[in-house]
Amino acid sequence: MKDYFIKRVEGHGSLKIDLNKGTARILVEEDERLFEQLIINFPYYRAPFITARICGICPTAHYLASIKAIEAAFDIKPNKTVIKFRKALLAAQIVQSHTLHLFFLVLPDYLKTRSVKEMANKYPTEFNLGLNLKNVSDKLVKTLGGREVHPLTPKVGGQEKAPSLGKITSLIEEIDSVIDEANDTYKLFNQLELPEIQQSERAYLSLDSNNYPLYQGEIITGLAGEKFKTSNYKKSIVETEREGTLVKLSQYVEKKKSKPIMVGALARLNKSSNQLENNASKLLNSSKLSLPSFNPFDNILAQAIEINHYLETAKNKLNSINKNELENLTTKVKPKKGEGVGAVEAPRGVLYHYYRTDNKGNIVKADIITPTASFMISLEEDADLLIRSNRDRSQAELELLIEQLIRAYDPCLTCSVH
Amino acid sequence: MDPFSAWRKSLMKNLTFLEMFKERKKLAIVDFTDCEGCQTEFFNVASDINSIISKFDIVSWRMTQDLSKLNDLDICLIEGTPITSYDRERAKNIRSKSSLVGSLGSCADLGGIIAILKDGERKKAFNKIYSKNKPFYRQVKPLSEIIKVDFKIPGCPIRPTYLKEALAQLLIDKLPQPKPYSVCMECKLKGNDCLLNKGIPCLGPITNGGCKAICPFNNQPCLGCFGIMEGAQVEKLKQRLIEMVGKQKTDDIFRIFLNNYI
Repeated sequence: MKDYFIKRVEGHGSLKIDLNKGTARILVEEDERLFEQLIINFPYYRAPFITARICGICPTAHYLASIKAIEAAFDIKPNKTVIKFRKALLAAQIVQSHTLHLFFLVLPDYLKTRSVKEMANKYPTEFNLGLNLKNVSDKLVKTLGGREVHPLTPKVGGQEKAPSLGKITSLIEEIDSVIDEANDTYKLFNQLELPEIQQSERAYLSLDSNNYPLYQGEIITGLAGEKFKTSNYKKSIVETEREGTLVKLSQYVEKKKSKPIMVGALARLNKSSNQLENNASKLLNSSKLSLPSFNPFDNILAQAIEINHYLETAKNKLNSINKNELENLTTKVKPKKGEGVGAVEAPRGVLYHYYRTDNKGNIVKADIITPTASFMISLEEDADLLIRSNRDRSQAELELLIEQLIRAYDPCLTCSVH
Repeated sequence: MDPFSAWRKSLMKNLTFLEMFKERKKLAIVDFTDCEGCQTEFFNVASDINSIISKFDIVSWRMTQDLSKLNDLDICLIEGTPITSYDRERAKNIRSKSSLVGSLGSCADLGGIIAILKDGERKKAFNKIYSKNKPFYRQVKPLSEIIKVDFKIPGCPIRPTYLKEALAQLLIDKLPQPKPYSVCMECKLKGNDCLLNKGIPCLGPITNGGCKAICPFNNQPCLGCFGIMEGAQVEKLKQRLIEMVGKQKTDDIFRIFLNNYI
């Protein structure tokens, strides 16, 4: 039996290229898990636990989006220390996911190796660089969230088991110990020769606030003036079903016109590069990336810059926590009938969780839109564009090129069918 | 110019992690329907430079490599649950190519989080989510009901220390065995406050240990992701929980990983 899945992407997918027609079809081969129904009738406090399991690469993003949605439904505002912890945790999660993606999924292609195994043998420095960064981001997520995969300690209204000041200090030291590595990561990816195509007519969307997109914000904005409240996302992000795939494909709709969506590192950087932390901002200026960029392959470099940015964010948030803030981090939760949306920046882009609760606080309705479902149409269009502009290449070369495009998008096919 | 030349030199002295890929016992990691969180724990274990993984030859792992050689395997770790007939056939095929098969994580071990919906409930749930696509026939069950499973590395997600231990045992041709004690025992050893004593339903007393009581340690009840311990008095705990918090809350806590026991 042939294993035909695309290698080194998160989840199962396959690729069919038709050279005559000039089309590439990316088939998501994931089976439905029905998460939006799994959580029905469960009490609110189980929703983050269950929905985190949509994805093992970005569980923290799901966990926090879920908490944010319930807090919106119950009108709860957690205190500012809790928010600091959540921001540091989510930033660490993005570093964790970007590192895994860049070093183990993307890099082998550009080093002309066929696998991580081969890359580890031929390029031990690069391999070890990735492991070091992964190791530290794992530690951050573990200390702040309770576990390196599938967090435990953030909760509706607060935070269980907040780390002590001593632990926070050692986390900051851990971050300091990999600042050079993060910098080298940027250098490494900045010197790659990335393929190039130019997208047109995309909605580059990210969470809008006073800071670089991460956790806070109730408005989504785009590069071309797109703007909507997260609580109204269903009016602007329209899902359609297509026969033969279980991904609900999303598009941005404004005045009855629809546009494919781009979310994730490049979309964030395109719109918010002026909000980058100091170091990351300097790196951006010295990079070969010129913004706004409409080349989806630049998402790779954008992620490398973001690793630097989010490490600094995590450090700043942790640095700002004082000893006297560390007590009473949980509030009493009064469940009520309501509905709420929680939107956060997952590593791959804006993630929406919507829940409706009954008066006991049980979940009665749920809707989740993942970043990969959001950018799937954009990816498909880019794949066709890539084929059309590289007609002279052989089938094998084209296959690799399309796979590189897919990896540049960093899709989470598991998330896309949830 | 090589920006890493100095570092490359210092590293070459000390490249134990390269052993990770020497010709050793052939190991494959295969995944079915799940979140892929358990296999990412391998990166966690690998970041330990003298890592136990270095003693195996990983011949197939979709997340890291192009080539997939699912032949003459010594050990195959299966993550996720095969819910389609096609995947069940794939699982059987892999079984025939590997001397040992182990389940990796709760999805393979128990059916996992998606088993919250029983097979009969899936169609209705599907129709609430999709309008155009028609529901398919899916069966969510433990891997051991589809193929013979020689050992398990349980948990949602698996724990890195447990994984290391299991790999160490496999290395010396020993099958990893479930811990002969419950989560409750590990929880006591850690000196955590008992959640049951606080009136919070917890499945620690009946669940296989090995997680070092990570959930109760973080003030979250045990939901049984390591599976039921042999000889555990499930009914007794259930009765006690029903007296304590009522049937609804008791069912809720069993539903997540131990839906079969409701």
